[in-house]
This record gives sequence, structure tokens and C-alpha cells, in this order.
Amino acid sequence: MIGSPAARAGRELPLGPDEAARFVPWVVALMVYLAALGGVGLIALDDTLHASEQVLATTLTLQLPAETSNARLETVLAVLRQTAGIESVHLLEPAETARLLEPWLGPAVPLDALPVPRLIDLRTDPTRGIDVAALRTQLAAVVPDARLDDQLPWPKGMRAAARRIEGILVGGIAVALLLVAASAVFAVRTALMADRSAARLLHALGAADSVIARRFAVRSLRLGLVGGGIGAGAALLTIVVLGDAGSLVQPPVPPRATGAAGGTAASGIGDWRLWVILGGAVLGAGLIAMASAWATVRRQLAGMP
Amino acid sequence: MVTLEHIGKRYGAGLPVLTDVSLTLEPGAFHFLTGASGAGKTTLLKIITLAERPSHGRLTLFGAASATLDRDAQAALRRRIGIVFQDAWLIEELSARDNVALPLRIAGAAERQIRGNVAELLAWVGLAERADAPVRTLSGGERQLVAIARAIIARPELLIADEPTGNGGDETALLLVRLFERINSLGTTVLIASDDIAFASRFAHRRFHLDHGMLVDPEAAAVQ
Repeated sequence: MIGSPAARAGRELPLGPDEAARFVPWVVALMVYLAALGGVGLIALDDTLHASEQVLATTLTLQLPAETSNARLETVLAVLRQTAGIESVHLLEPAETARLLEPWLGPAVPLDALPVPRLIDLRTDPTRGIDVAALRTQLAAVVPDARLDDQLPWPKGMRAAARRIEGILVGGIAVALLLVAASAVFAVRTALMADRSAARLLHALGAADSVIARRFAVRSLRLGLVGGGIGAGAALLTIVVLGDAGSLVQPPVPPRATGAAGGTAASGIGDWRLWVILGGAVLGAGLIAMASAWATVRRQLAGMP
Repeated sequence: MVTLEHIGKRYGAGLPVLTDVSLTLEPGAFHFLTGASGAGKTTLLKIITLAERPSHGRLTLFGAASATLDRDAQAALRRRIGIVFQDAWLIEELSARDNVALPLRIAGAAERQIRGNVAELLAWVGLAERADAPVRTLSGGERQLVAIARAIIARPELLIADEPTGNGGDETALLLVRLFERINSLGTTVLIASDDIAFASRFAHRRFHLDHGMLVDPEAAAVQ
């Protein structure tokens, strides 16, 4: 037998059948299921945001008026290639530009007849910032109407929106965990009513409050862990089945985000963070149920002489 | 061992259940507490076993003033008292063996010790063959024996019994008192509450008598 006498007593004291608490694992399972999916959603959202930011922060687009001469175009390209921090310069061919415009203009529009600007796609080195303002000045000296699009303001706005969504998810998770505690308290109160005679008898026979409370707390810990296990298993199943083997945690991000950009997107059920969330949800449910039961029983026992 | 000084008890705004009760239980003594139904015997026993707080007065238990003890210390004192409740008060879902084992489990005894002691005691009270029977299947007399075994399993210094002789016939009551006397001979102080004054008078043990919550001369009560 392992443990102190008091701990042993807490484990072994009888308090009747667990019928009053039968529903608890299912309530806990539902809450853990929602909390776990919420946590996974947080990761996915954060990964998407991070990956998108990385792509957009390293992408610049230069638009030159359609009437720009080839000589000026070559000069602009030379300026860009000599600018520190620019990794690649890609002048889009008219056919590529046409493909980009087709979703908006349709296939029937003759692009040759339109003043379509020349587009240059620039990729920058994320480790070396570039001076966008100085580059604009340089380009304006060659082509006065050149327009260099810096896309950073967009991800900043997106991050603010994502933060709000994250706040909602965190709130949802907190509510789920509160409901775990509430269900544990309700179960313990119900069990105490059913076991009131046994609890009073144990009290009369000299069981310390902590010993009686431990018995309920251990029972609630077990119920919380069982319910948490069911909920986490269901969440995992949902992620695997509905998420096409994990695409729920593998958010859709531009291709460059998963390569040299650092592979920030979560990689499905192989992602350690998923297991931390599921394990944490199970453990958290058990501990919350246990702590709630402990506090509830102690409060009720305090009413006995 | 137990000293009550000017103990009074009143529930809410009702009439006093106990009034100015003072008595002492010496170590190793055997006492009866008699009185008619409603005289306050059970309330007095509850105060001695720390199941009720007195409204006023002072209770000293095993040398400690009860009012000064915290909850854990009170629980520790309760473990030194064996109680046979009026209705046996067993946990119906459990076997006789597990009911008797309760005080040892509360004390955190090792399972091997619990098994050995419980088996020995159940044999002593004549219930060895009923050890694994759920207590709800036992007769009234057998339940009473289980309650007595539970009360003495942890070798208490004080044994309190509330109307233990009330449910059986005269012969059963006599057997139970003989059983309590054997326990008393091992050094345990015994206090038995009974409303059968004539029955208690048959024994040469000191009596306390309660009349409407007040201690009175037991001889005068016997004459009435």
C-alpha cells in the first residue's frame, strides 16, 4: 500500500454507488471536445496569420504605366536588381498578367486594347529590411508614375481581426472549462445529497474533513479524466475525419509559407501542439473537476459540527 | 476522561433540551444513562461525541476543552470514541465486514491489519459466517452486533451506546450488556443510554438519570 494513512483512507472510504455522477463524464466530454477544437482553431488561425504575414511581408509589386518604354523598363529592372534586400525580380509577361486579370474581366476582353500596366513581382529577403521610401524615390526618378505596393498594412488589419476571433475562441474555451467546473460541483452536490448519510456517518466516526473531501475529489478527478478522454478522442477523430487527415490544423496558406519561410503551418496529427492541447484539456478537466469537488465538499462539511 | 460542566442545550428558540448538566466519566468506568424518551439522553450523548455543540457550559474530553479544538483535532478525538447508534446506522450497500472496517479505514490502517482485525472481531461477536453479507440482509440483532463490532474495532477509550438494548428482547439486552461488560473489562470506559430504568437497575453500575433535560438522583427516579 502506497501513500500516507490519511491518503489511503481518502481512497478507500465507501460513499455508495456513483449513480448520481453518471452524467458528468458526458458533460465534461462535450466541454473538452469544444475546448479542444477551440484550442486547435487558435493554433490554425495563428499559423495562417503568421504564414500569410511572412509571405506578404516579403512580397512587393511594382506597377509601371502601360506606355513605359522598354529602355525605362530595363533601367527600372537594373535599379531593382541592385537594391540591397531584394532577392528576386520577376517581370510578368503580358500573358501572365492576362491570367491574373481574367477572373475580373473575363476571357472575352481584348487586353491588347487596354492600357494594362506592366507588373514586376519582387521578393525580399525577410532577414534584411529594405528602405521602401528610398526605393520609391529612385523609381520615380526613372518612371514618375511607377507605383510600388507595400502590402504590410493589410496583414496588420488582418491580425487585428484575427485577434478578435482569437478572443472569442479563448472566451469559448473559458466558458467550456467553467461548465466543467459547474458540472462537477452539481455532481458533487447531488452525490452529497445521496451520500449525505454516509458522509455524516464518516464524520461521526472521526473522519477528518480532508479525508471525506478527498474521497469525493478522487471520484471527481476520475470522472473528469474519463470525460476528458472521451472528449479529446472525439476531437481528435473530428480533426482526422472532417479535416482530411488534419487539414483543420493545416491552414490554407500561400505555397511559399510552408517552404523556406519556415514551415509555420501546423502539420496535422503529427503536430506536437495538437497533443499538448488534447492532453492539457484532459488533464485540465480532471483537475478542475477535482478542485471543484474538493471545495464544494469542504464547504458543505463545514456546516457539520 | 469526560467532564461536563453546566452543559445546556437549546435548539433555536425552543425549550431547553438540557439544563445545567454536570457529570464526570472516570477512566475504566461503566455507567448507564437513563431517562424517559425525550429526556435528553441522545442530545447529551451527541454532545459527548462532538456531534452537537452545547449552547453553554464546558465539555472536557480526554483532557482537552472541546470548544478550543479545531476541526481536525475534534475528528481525532472522535476516533478515540466508539459509538453504537440508536438505529445501528450502517451503510446498507456494504457488507458487515466493510461496515466494521470503517473506523480502521478512517484511521488509515493497512489493509492486511484491517482484514485480520475485522475477521477476528466478527468471530468474537458471532458473525463470522455473515461477514460478507450485505447488512440490509441481516436481522435486527445481527445489525446491532455489527454496529457494536464497528464501535470497538479501533479499540476506543470511550464507548457510547444509545439504546442498544431497545430493539431486542430481555435476553438479547442482557447478552449485549454482558458484551459491553467484557469490553469494559479490557479498560474501555462505557456509557449506555437506556429508557428502561428497571432493566438498568438490575446491574451494579452507576447510573445517571435525566428528567426533562436535568440530571436527578437516579434512586429517586427508580422509586417513581
